[in-house]
Amino acid sequence: MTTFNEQWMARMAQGDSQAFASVYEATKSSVYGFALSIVQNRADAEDVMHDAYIKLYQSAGQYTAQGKPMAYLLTIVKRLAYNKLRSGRHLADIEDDQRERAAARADHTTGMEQQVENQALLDMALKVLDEEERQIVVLHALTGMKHREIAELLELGISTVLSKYRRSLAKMKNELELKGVSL
Amino acid sequence: MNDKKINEWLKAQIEAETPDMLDTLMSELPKTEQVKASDSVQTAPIPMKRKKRGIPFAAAAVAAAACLVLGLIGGGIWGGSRRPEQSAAGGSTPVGALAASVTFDVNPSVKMKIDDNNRVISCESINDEGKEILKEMDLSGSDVVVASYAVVGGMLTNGYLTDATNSVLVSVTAEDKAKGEEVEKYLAQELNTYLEKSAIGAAIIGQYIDEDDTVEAFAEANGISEGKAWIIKQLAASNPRLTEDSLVKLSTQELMVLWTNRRTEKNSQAASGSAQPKKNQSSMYGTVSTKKYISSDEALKKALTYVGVKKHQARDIEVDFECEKGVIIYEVDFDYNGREYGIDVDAVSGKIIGGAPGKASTLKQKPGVEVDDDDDDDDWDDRYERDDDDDDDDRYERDDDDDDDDDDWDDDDD
Repeated sequence: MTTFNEQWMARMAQGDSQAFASVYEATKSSVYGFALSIVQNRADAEDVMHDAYIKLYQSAGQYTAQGKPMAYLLTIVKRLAYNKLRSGRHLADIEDDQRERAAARADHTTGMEQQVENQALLDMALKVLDEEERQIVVLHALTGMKHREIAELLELGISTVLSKYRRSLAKMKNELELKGVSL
Repeated sequence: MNDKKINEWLKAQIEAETPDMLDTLMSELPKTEQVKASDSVQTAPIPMKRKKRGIPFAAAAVAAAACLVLGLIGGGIWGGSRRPEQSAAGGSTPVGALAASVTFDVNPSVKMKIDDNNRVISCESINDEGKEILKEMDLSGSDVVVASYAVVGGMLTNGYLTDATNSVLVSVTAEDKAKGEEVEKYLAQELNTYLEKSAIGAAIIGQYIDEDDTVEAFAEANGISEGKAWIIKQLAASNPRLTEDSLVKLSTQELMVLWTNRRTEKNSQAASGSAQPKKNQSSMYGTVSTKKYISSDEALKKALTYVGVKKHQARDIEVDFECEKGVIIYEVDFDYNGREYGIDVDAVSGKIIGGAPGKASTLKQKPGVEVDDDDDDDDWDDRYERDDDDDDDDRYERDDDDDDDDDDWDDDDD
């Protein structure tokens, strides 16, 4: 995945859709992963992802070059994701939704079965983490952001980020080993 | 199974299931309205609403009063072609309808309303220090320039404006934006000339503000001037780590320090304390004093000493001014031996925040110090198992009985 070039922001502000495509390709997994780490279900994560990119395109003209376009985008994602959470989806609905989607996917070819299994594995690994741990570990793995930048985005102290990061890795390692996953 | 592998696994899993919605998005772009950056002073999205005043005024004589008051020095201060026609200075002529208002912040905070002849309609204090300055001053009917000398002079005399607290924030709002901006520029200049005579080395920051309900509401709710509210909103928008609520507690001087050191274009003078004035949007004279704070070099030295690294051994050094939970700090970041270090240093005391003093091994983790190395093997990982999340935020509890610096915080009351 290439890095988010700040110049794309200025071009997007001029309505350059190629620049938008470049931004999308460079950031899609970070955006999706981060959204997922907050909302914890795939349907909502997709909604947030869609809305975030539209919002980014809309507001590109208001971004001032500070060398942190990724943080700008992820802040949009964060706000939308938390709004989604607050819109009151019940846990039962979320789980139903996940089961439906898993079932829908399982209807397809065996290649999909593997995908379902992987998703289930990911879900389990993330489930053992708390709210902040999930976000920290996903941001670190996907975006290449430094802990300092993660702390800034999540509005946490740097010590908190570091200790939660280490704890997340330990928990995930534990969980994966329990499930017999060897990396 | 080491950290690197887990990170790679996580990344691969998420990448594999990331939906591809580019086509959908691309098809929606043409219908998506883009918000253009507004012309006025701002660094990030702030909702702008024009409030109709509904008071008509003579087009020719509008000169939107700018900043606050100056002293009673008598008329004829305005030189050159920009001075509009106006009646004799002095309080004898009746004042007209509201044309603009100006707020002025040092520690005292004062707001002045002006008519289209640049005469003061009314003058009110926004905080207690402002009341003290305005005591026994009757400025209504005076020329705005004259009146502002009185107020600034009062601040000097009463010791609010000093070499350490040297920033004067001057903010103009007017129905006619073009005139308002012109007046802001001119008055900041006048103030600068006036204050050059004093020995304090004042810094004048002038700004024109669009009328905005959100800013006004925020100002009122927090008992601060609109000028300050505007700066706070922009600072919060420019830096995700700064929240409006924490910024409200800061003094004008502290806000100006953050303002002139805020993130801007990478190649601008972020650390110099004198921001480049934007064309037609704001004025800047002098340098905002950082006398209260240790220098960034000192902060770097403290951080390096704390970790036990020599300057020539460190790479990618970055030192930034930040505000963490109402405390102004330096963030010192550098790489050493392939690891990232991040240390917070209190900008007033030079203390390492949260860390215990004394020599630290470069490999030990301390609170406030970030060490990141994905190649750690398992045994090493266990060193970082800590159950003390509760301790993390305590470092920002300013409970230090023996800390003289607390007094500084109390002084700057707005």
